[in-house]
Amino acid sequence: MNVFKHEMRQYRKTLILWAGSLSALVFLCMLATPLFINESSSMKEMLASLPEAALDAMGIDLELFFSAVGFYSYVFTYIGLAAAIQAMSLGMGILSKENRMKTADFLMSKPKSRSSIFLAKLAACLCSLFVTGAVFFLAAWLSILTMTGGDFAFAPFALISLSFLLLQMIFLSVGLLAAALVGRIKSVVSVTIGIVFGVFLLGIISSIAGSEALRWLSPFRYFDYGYAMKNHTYEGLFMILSAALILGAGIASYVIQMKKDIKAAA
Amino acid sequence: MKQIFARELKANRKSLLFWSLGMFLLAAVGFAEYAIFKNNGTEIGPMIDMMPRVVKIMFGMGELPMDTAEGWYACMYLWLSFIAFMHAALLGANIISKEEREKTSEFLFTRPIKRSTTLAGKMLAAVLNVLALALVAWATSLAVLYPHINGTSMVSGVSLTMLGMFITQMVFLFTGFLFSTLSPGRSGSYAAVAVIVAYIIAVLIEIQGNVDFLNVLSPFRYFHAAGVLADGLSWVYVALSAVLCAAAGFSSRFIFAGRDLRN
Repeated sequence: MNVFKHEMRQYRKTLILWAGSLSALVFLCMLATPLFINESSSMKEMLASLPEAALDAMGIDLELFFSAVGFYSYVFTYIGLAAAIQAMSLGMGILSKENRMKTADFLMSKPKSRSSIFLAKLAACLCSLFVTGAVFFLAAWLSILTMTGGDFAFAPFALISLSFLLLQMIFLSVGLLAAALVGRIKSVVSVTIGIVFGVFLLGIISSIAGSEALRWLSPFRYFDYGYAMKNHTYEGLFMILSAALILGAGIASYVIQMKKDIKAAA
Repeated sequence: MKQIFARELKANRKSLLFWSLGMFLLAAVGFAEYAIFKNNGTEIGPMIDMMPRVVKIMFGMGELPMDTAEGWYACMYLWLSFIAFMHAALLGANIISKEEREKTSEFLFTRPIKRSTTLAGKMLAAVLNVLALALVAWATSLAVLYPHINGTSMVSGVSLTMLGMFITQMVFLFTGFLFSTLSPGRSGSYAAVAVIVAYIIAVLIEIQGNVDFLNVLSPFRYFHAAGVLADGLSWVYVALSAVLCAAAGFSSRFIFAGRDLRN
């Protein structure tokens, strides 16, 4: 409990900054909704002239695709990027900082098992991420409410927003694993941004080029918002893949952290 | 200075390798996808062009039609330069401040080397790292894209845009130095936020349209691909970049030379 409280206090300011800037970002982006709806008319006409079967094959629900929720799905691409950076730097930072700040001896010599320390830190991460997620969800809901006056499809909106937490869980466990594997990480920010951006850009390239194979490489593309808007559910296969990734990386980091040699500050 | 320079090159070798590998993979995959895209692009190409302008701009597809080699290149260039700018900003933000963060500053700054000399050695090593990453981006782009642009004027266009990218990388690198000397603890986060804010400003400028004079505000717009492919590098922005680098470099030097080091 002490470790949990200590970590929560340590990350309070970071948490407020993240929640605040994500909320501001989503609101700012959503201000462009009318622009999106005006400019989408030519594409809408073109698509509407296609036969029903072709539209089905593309997996597009026309009405929804060109509504505020459709625009939100594009905006969310960037929100997801930010969420991943937050989660991964949190996971990587919380495990590796004892080593970096040379406080590992202090913590490890307390009458507490490694396992309980790890679990307390994990709980602090989850708590921070849930709070960020909740604040963001509220902000996104308020933004879309002000832009549409309440006239929007809630279920697809909620599905898109909930992938926020799933993305965070994936990158949190990857961050924990990276910290457990590598002894000393000099700059958590650099490593996080390098990895998350690389994966994000792979996802962008795969969606511009319409490549299915590349999707597997980028967790950002495990959640196809076009599909979610049309079918009101995520894709089962990629859900299983996400769950496997979260559990696999999480458990692996726990096992490694229990056994690894932690260097003393000397 | 020579030892510091050599030591920093060695210390950054591994991270440079990873960034180069990432850059290589993204450029290779990104431009290789163009071949696939072009082959079945008869349907996708026009569809992307009809997408709402806001969305196209948000994903770097706003400037040129995507079914041409130029358009594809302009889009990929934006993403590759995003990586390069992040690398430069983070490198600048870390290379000086890491001594204070890792509590090695007492060791380093009690050597009989002036602080400004140490700083110069570190800056030189950082510039070389940035140059290496730019060269990787340039070589990979040209090699993968070459079959599609063979015999067109785009070969020189690619080289010019990559030169523009290198100049902008320098701007972010020196901004990173400045953060590094101002606030060693949080310089990495500040540098990353600076790059992201610059990107958001660039998107806003493009959405607004017809406000090219505002390009001054975001280094992303100094040498944006469509402009460079059409008119070459703008001398105004080359000069502006040089002034920015010099200003940030000299202020870092003076701030750092006269500051109390945290330990």
